Amino acid sequence: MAKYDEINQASKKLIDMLVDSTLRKHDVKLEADKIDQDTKEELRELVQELQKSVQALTEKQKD
Amino acid sequence: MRRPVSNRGPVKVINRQHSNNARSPKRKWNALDPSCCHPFADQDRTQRASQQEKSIQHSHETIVIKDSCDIEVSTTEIQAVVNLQVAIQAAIALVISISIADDDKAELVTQELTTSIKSSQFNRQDLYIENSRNVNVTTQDTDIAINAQLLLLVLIAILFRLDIL
Repeated sequence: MAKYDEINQASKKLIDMLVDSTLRKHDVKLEADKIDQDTKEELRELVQELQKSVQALTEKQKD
Repeated sequence: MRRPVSNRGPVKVINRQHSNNARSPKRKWNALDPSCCHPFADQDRTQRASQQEKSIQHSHETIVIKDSCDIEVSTTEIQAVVNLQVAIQAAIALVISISIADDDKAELVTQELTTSIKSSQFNRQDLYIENSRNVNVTTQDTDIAINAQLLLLVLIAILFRLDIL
């Protein structure tokens, strides 16, 4: 389990690096103020639903 | 004297039509025809094709059960997993498009992030059970599930940078 968490952490770091380097490469910045509060709330709900779906899939595979 | 002159006219027209066809990119490439444009000569099209190829994933599953009884097969619904993956990709595209002012750059960033994540392009599972009794089989398409997980991590990383999570 500890090993699984380590791999998970490594994947997260890798993804962070990928996102940062891609944004830097194209010389762009994500502008938080361009998104209004309602859209932010909708996106939060959307990502939670997607997280649940992926989690359900992962648990199904563990079984 | 006049007849041969009038015959030459149509011949010229036919030749011109032939050379126009040779330059057309739809015509099959012929190594012996110097007027043919080589398929690799159009660099932009090659790049576009390779990027499109990356965004396509195939999954095929075949299950054959023959002369058997008490067989239990449980499979991951591949189509559902693929749909989930597409939904996450769409969410990434949406978030990037509304948070980056330059549309062209937003498209490039989305394309680069989603294409670099994909670890597999083609999955095939064949299951054949013959003359068997009391068999339990579970099949999984792990690659596609991993892709969905990684794409979700990308989406979360972007949302963190936008102070949404």
